[in-house]
Amino acid sequence: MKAADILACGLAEIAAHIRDGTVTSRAATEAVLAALEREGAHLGAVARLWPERAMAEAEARDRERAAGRLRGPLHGVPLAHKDMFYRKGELTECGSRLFRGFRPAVTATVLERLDAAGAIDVGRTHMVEVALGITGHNPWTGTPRNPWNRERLTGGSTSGGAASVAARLNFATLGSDTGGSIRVPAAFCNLVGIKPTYGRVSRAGCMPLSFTLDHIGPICRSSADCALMLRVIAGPDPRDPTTGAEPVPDYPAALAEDLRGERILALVGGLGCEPEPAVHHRFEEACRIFDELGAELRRAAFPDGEPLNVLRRVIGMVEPAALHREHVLSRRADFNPHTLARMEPGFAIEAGVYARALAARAGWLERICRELLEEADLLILPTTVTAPPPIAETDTGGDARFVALANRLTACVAPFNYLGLPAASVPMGFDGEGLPLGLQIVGRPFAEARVLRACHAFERATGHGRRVPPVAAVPTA
Amino acid sequence: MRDSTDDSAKDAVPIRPGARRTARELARMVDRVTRDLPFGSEPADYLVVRDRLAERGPETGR
Repeated sequence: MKAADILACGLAEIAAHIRDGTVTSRAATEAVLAALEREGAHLGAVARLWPERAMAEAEARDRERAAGRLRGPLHGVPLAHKDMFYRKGELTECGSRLFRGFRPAVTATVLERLDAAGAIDVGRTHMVEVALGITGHNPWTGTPRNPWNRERLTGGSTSGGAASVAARLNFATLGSDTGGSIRVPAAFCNLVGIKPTYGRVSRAGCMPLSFTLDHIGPICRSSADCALMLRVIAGPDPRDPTTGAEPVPDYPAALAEDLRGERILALVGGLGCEPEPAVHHRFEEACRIFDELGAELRRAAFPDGEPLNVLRRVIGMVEPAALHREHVLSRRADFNPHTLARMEPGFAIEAGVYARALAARAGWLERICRELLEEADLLILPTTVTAPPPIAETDTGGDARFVALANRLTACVAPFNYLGLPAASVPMGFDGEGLPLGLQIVGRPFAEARVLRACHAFERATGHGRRVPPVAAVPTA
Repeated sequence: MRDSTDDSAKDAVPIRPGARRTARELARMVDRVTRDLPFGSEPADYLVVRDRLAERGPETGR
């Protein structure tokens, strides 16, 4: 198989090819490394690659397969991840000057699980500084370019990872999501990304930003790929005491069921931010599609959605400020203005205010589950109220306009970080300029199987996710 | 987050007026939106509530 054909495969597809021997791990790894080096540089997506180790591992996986031994469902599949997942002794710089030269002493649980499943870790992709930012801007490493339009933002903070998967340089990537950092880049790059339930996936060995709001999950080209990757990385971990004991379902198997009778609540308004006309139009179209798929669709406004964003902002400012206090005191010039603008109020918020925001979390979860998720199985709403904005116009250096943009981009996604509910973004179509838009699907705690099933059904009905962007390592359809 | 026991200038993080304004606005909003919530709950209760509300069923989640 030619390199372009290999790169056109999704995660599940390439894993099947390597398993049945139609593609070697060596060929897949060579193709990914070459594409990341060439097109990855063009998009400003790649932080570093480990070609020697990756090729040695690929050859080892091929030998194992020849001897009849398969490590797991990702045997021999090369993957590059966001530059914040620790691998013992390997450079991890978190998009930040503060982490220059940092070599962690531990390996992230999610990487250990991917290793055990047979995946090959080929390198790291660029990200927003310390993962604190939703736009994708990063003056230190350069701002990754959106493969759908190089002048547009990818969204952040999993910026380079999303660009690499969309451009068919990488089969899938691990992301983190503290206020939308998996779902917004997925939406802006026409991908599927899932932020699982708080505690579904271990955060041990991942750069922390906010211990209350951080979630780890995959960004892929399809829901089936997300299901496969989530199945590998999810589950209890003694190294992360917030992980739940709930058994991990067979997510790929769950995709087979249809949506007949599924109760879906379409949320229209209530989050203090009105969608642009193109988003509104595509969302109405999405509602019609769910209706045609046999779901029982109802509409409602989000009840008091704005307070959830207020409470999340308090926690999302105080916890990063607490983590980075010493850095801000001693190395302020090493932070970029975008990061400081988002973090600085956290130093001025009183302890009592933070404690109230934290203590209210359980009550809000109960209320949202009671008011919305008792009579509905799933919620749907746009992932963002706008298409990917232009990079240059929005690079206003962390001023009030930048903060307002960040609040606007997170308005529909961040409440689910505070609530800790599973939420995925799936391609919803394109605006008049051909820019991707995302649909968000949300479920009860630990309902990732249901969320992914709805994503999968929607994806198959629309085909939006199959479109290839203009900048890609494979021919554009 | 402000530490009321620590007033020494050398340990204080310099904060721009805009950030202080944001912090004050957020404090007012948090007061408003948490006024009617039951207190006495601890942050750890969140995990208990999450697990109680978890979707359960066969492997597919139905």
